Amino acid sequence: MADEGFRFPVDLTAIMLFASAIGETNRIYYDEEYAAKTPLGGVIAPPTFATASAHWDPDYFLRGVRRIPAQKPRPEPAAPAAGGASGGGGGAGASLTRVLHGEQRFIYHQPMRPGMRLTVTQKRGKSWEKEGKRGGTMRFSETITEFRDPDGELVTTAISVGIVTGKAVEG
Amino acid sequence: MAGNPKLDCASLAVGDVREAVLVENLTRTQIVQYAGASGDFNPIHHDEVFASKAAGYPSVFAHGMLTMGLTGRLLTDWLGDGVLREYGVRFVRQVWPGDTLTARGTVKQIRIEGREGIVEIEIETRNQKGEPVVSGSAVAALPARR
Repeated sequence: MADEGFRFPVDLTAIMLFASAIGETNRIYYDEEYAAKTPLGGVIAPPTFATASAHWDPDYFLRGVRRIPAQKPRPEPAAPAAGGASGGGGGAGASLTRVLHGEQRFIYHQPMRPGMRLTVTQKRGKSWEKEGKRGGTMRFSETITEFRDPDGELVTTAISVGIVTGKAVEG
Repeated sequence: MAGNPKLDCASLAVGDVREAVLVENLTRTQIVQYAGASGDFNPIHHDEVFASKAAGYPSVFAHGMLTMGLTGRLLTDWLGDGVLREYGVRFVRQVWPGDTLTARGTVKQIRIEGREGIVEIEIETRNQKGEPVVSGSAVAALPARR
């Protein structure tokens, strides 16, 4: 888990692509001329966009083929965090097939806008275990991710709960 | 952080309900599109062989965060842009290709604080069988009265 965090430059195209993927047609997410005339004064990101910071997270274990090198050498690989910047810690060695995203919460301090150069830091929250009927022993762990602007002001706080299950869970 | 509200607290009442179909017959293409946009490339969401043979699921399934993103549309289409203070869900059940999802929001509480009103919404999204897939809540700040 990154101590000094990683950089997340918020970009209009990334917001537009994310909004498209969640079926949005709201112009506040892509149309700069329209957005400028609203009280918001410009494009903003949709409520769950912070999760796309995973693209910039050097420790993110669910990325595709592209690797961003860590900004500083790390003593040991960080435990995987499901859902990346907004995902709960799965625990070291957890298999891709057994990590589930249990809960996700966002706290919004100010709108996230294109052009913002955010710093993302993560810390561990609570962790606990539960016996599940469908998934065997389930390990829960909370990850708290803070998105701050260059002045250190909070933009978004993301709290996620990752679950590592004993076996495949079919809902 | 006033955002661009679509309505004020005077036009909302505890118990008000809003429903919207979020997606009909969810495609694998949309799941892949979400993987690309979000950066979550867990093969369980796009690789059918991995999901079924290696992981033992019936097929690939949607990212929980895709369902959360889709569900957020109910809130922003209803309340406005940039008005949310909090939004959280629990992922209750997987969402599969072919699913049709409907979200329902219910006003639980309205608290007037000066010229602003804090609205608490309970939210739940169900699949075509009526089973909940996510459930959660949101808090929005709206003008007390316009």
